[in-house]
Amino acid sequence: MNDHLYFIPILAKALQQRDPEQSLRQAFDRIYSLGSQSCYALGFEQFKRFMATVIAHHKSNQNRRFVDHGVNMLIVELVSEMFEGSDEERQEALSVIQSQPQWRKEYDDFTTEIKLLSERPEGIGISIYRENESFQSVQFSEIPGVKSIDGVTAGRYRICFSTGRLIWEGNLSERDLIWTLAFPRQPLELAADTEEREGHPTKELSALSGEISIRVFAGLECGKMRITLNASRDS
Amino acid sequence: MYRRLSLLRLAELIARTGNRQALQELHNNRRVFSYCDQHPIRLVEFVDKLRQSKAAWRWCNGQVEVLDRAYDLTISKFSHLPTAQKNVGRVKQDGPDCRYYYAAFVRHATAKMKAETHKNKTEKEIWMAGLLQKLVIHHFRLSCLECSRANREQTRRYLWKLNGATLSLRLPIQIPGRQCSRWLAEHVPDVDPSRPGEQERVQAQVNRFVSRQAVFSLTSIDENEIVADLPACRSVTEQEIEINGLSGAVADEKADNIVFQRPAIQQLGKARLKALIHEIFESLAGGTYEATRLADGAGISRSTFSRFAGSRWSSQTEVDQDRPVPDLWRNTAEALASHPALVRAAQTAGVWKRVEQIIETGNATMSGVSNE
Repeated sequence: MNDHLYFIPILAKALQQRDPEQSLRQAFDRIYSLGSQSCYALGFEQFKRFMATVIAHHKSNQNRRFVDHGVNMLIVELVSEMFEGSDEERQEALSVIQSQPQWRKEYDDFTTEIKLLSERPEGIGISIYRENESFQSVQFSEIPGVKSIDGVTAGRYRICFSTGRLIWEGNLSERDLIWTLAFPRQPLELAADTEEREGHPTKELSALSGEISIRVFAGLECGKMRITLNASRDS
Repeated sequence: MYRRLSLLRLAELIARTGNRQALQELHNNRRVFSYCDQHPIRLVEFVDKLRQSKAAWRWCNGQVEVLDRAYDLTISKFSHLPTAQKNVGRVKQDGPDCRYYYAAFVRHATAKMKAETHKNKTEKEIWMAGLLQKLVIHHFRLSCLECSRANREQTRRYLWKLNGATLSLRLPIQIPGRQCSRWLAEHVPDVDPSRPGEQERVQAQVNRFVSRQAVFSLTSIDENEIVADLPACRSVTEQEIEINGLSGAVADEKADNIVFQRPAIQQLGKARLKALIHEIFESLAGGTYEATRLADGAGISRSTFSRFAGSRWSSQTEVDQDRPVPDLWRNTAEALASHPALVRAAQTAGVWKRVEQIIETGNATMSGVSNE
């Protein structure tokens, strides 16, 4: 056995055993035991430096994993705009990410992905339900804006944002929707069955402090609903 | 009353009071999310779409079981309210507390809203939906990171050599290294490494088995006997050493990274370098190590050999300076640093602590340390 490297074959042999952990413990005992003999003194010093290299590398591996995980978390925070630090800290974090190609790539990839996954339809969607069934949906591309819903017959209606928040819910009766019942003895106005001019609403509702108004108009056989999004600002 | 509340108000109620009706309203009635510009969907549906996305596949390195765990974890983050119990002390919680996640949303949205004064209530409602969508993506990504890390700790890579080809798989750490090949042969029939996509197919089979085992663990006694066997976590290094021995593992690593070797060693070429390393280890084991003979045999100078695999680099006297650990022994130490059994054995045997103390004190000797 080479006195100066006596620990190498002892470790190599232990690593090949059926239970390496147990064998390695015994191997360390043997290395220590031989190390106390003068002929192995130098070898024992070298074993300690060898183990110091093992420990240093093990810690460096652990640190690298820890840093990688931390930087990945930082990338997620920054890209999804959830980073709560100051602008200065943000800049510092970005420069850390830029310092390593694999972090820079992860940052760019996640930026592309989150942009795609965050895509939403433009504008404001409003859904109308009749008797709990979807009746019609309208999409406002800008505010202020007006949308009409035709073919409204008597029943229970629910008007919601496309996100599900309730704007109005209630019953519309034939007296709200049929001209002869809404305005007995009055001749049918042109607006009731054409779109040329607006008639008198039979019902007028307001929601969100007047930001949304709903007007109901009577017609010959069915009525219509007119939803207006107003530009009033939240105070 | 909850149906008329804004998204932000619902989140506030959940965050501040743990209001279950507000939580129910948000999950059951609010279609706040949109995937790829399509029709509005609920939170659970959106997270499911995320799970199926190409991005999520990348985030979880294509591991279906990690994706499923990330999905469950994300849903819990936004739906799980801890059961109210008095005097629970420091009892471990049974899942995430969604109040913290909604509180983060409220805090984030309130801060962002300061720059959005031009928006009215209607516009804000839609804008808030977009913010919540981003927050959910954010937490799904974090869940993927978290579950991937947990998975790395519970599985290990195994190189399955079959018909001259190698499949790189992740297996549960509970399967003993020596039984991996047999276990795979028993559980994954009809494997053909030359078939396109075979690695993914085999991995999927392993994952299915692991998931099934998690569900039916009480009835699957035979399979659990394997699981109960060895709890040790095994790394690639550990496997390579087990299969090829320390010399084989180090020789392969050195040959693969020959470009990083000293020029004189590079000139040997991969095959001769591997042969030299095997010879060095064999001569150490057989007691025939002789630097001059090994250097001459390899056709390298004695000084090059000394720097590569010399036998003497420490001094016994304070007058002599310690020399750097030769490359081969440094690389061997680095390989062993990734060998969990060696690390554990060194720690339990007290070697780790003693060497650490020496590093800390800068003392190169180990005097006074007895062999326990």
